[in-house]
Amino acid sequence: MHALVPQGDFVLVAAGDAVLVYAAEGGRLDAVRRLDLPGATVGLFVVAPDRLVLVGADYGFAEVALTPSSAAPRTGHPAP
Amino acid sequence: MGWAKVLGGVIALGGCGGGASMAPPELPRPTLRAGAWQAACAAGDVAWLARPGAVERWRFGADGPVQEASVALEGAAQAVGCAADRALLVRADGRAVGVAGEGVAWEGAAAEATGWPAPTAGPQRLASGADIQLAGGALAVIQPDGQIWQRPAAAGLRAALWDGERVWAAGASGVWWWRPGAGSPVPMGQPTEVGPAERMFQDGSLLWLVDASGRGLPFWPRGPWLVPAGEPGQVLPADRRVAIRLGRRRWRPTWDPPG
Repeated sequence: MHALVPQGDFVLVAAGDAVLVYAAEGGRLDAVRRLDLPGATVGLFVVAPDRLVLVGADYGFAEVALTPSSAAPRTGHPAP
Repeated sequence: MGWAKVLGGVIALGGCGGGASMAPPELPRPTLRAGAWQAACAAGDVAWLARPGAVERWRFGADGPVQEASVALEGAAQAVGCAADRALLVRADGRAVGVAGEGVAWEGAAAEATGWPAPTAGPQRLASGADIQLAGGALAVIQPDGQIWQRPAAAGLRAALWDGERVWAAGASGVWWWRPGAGSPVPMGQPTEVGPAERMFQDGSLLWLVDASGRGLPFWPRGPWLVPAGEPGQVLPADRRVAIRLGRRRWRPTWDPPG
């Protein structure tokens, strides 16, 4: 793992050749989104509320639009 | 494992929350910029150059190098076979993509790529006699008379930071910066006072670069230059304590950074 950034109710993690969005719910941590990349990531920055910039060891710079999901909002579970 | 501890902490915080939560953000495929050139193929005065997320078609004619096309691809190609108007790119997983003109024309298993140019290995020579060389992710075209045309690439990066305006990155290919949403990443070269950076951090308007031996130096970024702001010296290891805000909570675990 090279970077971990909280983003609202979620955590963005750069791990291996992917960036994952984790959601903590009901005491579990689930990877709810995954973006595969052509190599390892050394930097992960939310540069604007809707923009994520990644820096790869060998893939250079990448900008990702953080668009809200079109899916309906999920309902969390109360703590155990 | 620090990684497990971090995620364990996140699980614990999530369990304390509850209530409605937002839908997770989508992660659309990004456009990659300035990545390492990883494979090349020459045909006449045309060269197909593969880098992560794209293959570029360049023409090395009498008017000098001209990039004619850039075709977005998934993943990174490890080998390229080409003719002047098309190329076959083969990935490490055995999948291949055929590119014709300025778009993807075929995708499938490399073993089934009949009718496409076979991937080539070794030095690539243009019709002019110039050799294409890829070294450390950078591209060089060496003319028969010894003249060299070269382009750096953001390869071998080890550290990055965001200063609120620009994203900085550093490593084997020197120091780079990029202003998100504007133009191309800019190479600033490798300062001679320290080795390739293993980590970097910001101290006010200064940018610190620290090499593998722990030797570091602060720099003022001034236009295209990094101006030393002191003498090189040993930099203390990074503090292993980390504090981040997660939702409404302040999270301050102690964990072991990876590596």
